[in-house]
Amino acid sequence: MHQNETDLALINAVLVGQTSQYEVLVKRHQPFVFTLAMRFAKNREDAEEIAQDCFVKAYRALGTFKQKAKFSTWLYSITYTSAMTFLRKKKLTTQSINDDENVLQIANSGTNFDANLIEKKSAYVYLNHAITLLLPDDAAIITLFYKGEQSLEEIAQALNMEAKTVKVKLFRARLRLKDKLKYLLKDEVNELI
Amino acid sequence: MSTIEEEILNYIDGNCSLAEKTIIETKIARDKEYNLLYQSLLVVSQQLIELEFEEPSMSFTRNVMDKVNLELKPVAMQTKINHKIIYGIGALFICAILFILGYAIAISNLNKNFSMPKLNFSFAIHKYINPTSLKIFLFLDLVLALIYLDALLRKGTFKKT
Repeated sequence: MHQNETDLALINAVLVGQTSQYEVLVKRHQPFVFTLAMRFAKNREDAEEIAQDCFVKAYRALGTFKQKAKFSTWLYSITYTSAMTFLRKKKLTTQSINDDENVLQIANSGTNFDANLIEKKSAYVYLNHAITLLLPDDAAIITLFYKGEQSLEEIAQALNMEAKTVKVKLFRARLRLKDKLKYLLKDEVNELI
Repeated sequence: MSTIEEEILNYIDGNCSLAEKTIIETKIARDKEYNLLYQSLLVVSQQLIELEFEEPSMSFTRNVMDKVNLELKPVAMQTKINHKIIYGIGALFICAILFILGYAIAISNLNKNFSMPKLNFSFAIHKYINPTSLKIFLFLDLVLALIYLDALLRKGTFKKT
């Protein structure tokens, strides 16, 4: 709530001419916007392009932002539409689970970490990789729900869908994620989850 | 669709009623398989929450601000609407109406006896029902039916997409 208030204060500052305040907003929201963009683009260069485009569009339309909803929800809806436009332009094909390039390589985390931490890190790497194997819409909904601190209603608003549709899509996305995890982990599935 | 998983996920997300919550908690406590499934889904949910964000390049903010500085400064939409102009236009219309009304009263001769104009309400309907009017009527019906059908099909297509 406090951050929401601060977001609004920053927006008002930008609207009265203190445009440098927009940098604070960018820095605050860039990790999530970039993560969401990564769910669509699958590579860093394209994701940066989408995220930059999103922030520029948000700046242009800042005057139209109705300060009733969360700024983050509004920003994520812009990210979603920017990413969809980008995908349409690039005509990206989603990666198949059987592609050779999808074979996961867990990086050697070094010897300074304890065994539990390494195991946990491996689980996160597997999970991240499983998310990248999902369809962009599924990955975006999961990311918005778990990392974007957005309620089903807010996600529905951001994606221009009904809350009930989002709930069903979220459930199906989680089932697909579970399937991808099973495929990646095979016998280790019970150890890691 | 797996209803057990859906049930457990709703419980983990906090999207179930108090009665459902009690039932699920009982199942978790009594049913070993149910409990295992709950534990695995809980772990994955927790890991999804704990996943780290992807970080963009170091120059990301600078690049955004470079682009932003080339844009026009955003202005709140409310400040763009000048209420004085709106009121001014309204006043102009009211003045014009009052002027026309005053002028009409000034030039009219109010001494003359005023009588209501006689209106002829007799309507010979048989004059208007002829083959041409029927064809026009049917053609309009056909156009309206096509517009309705088009709207109906469009609605169905949008729902599917």
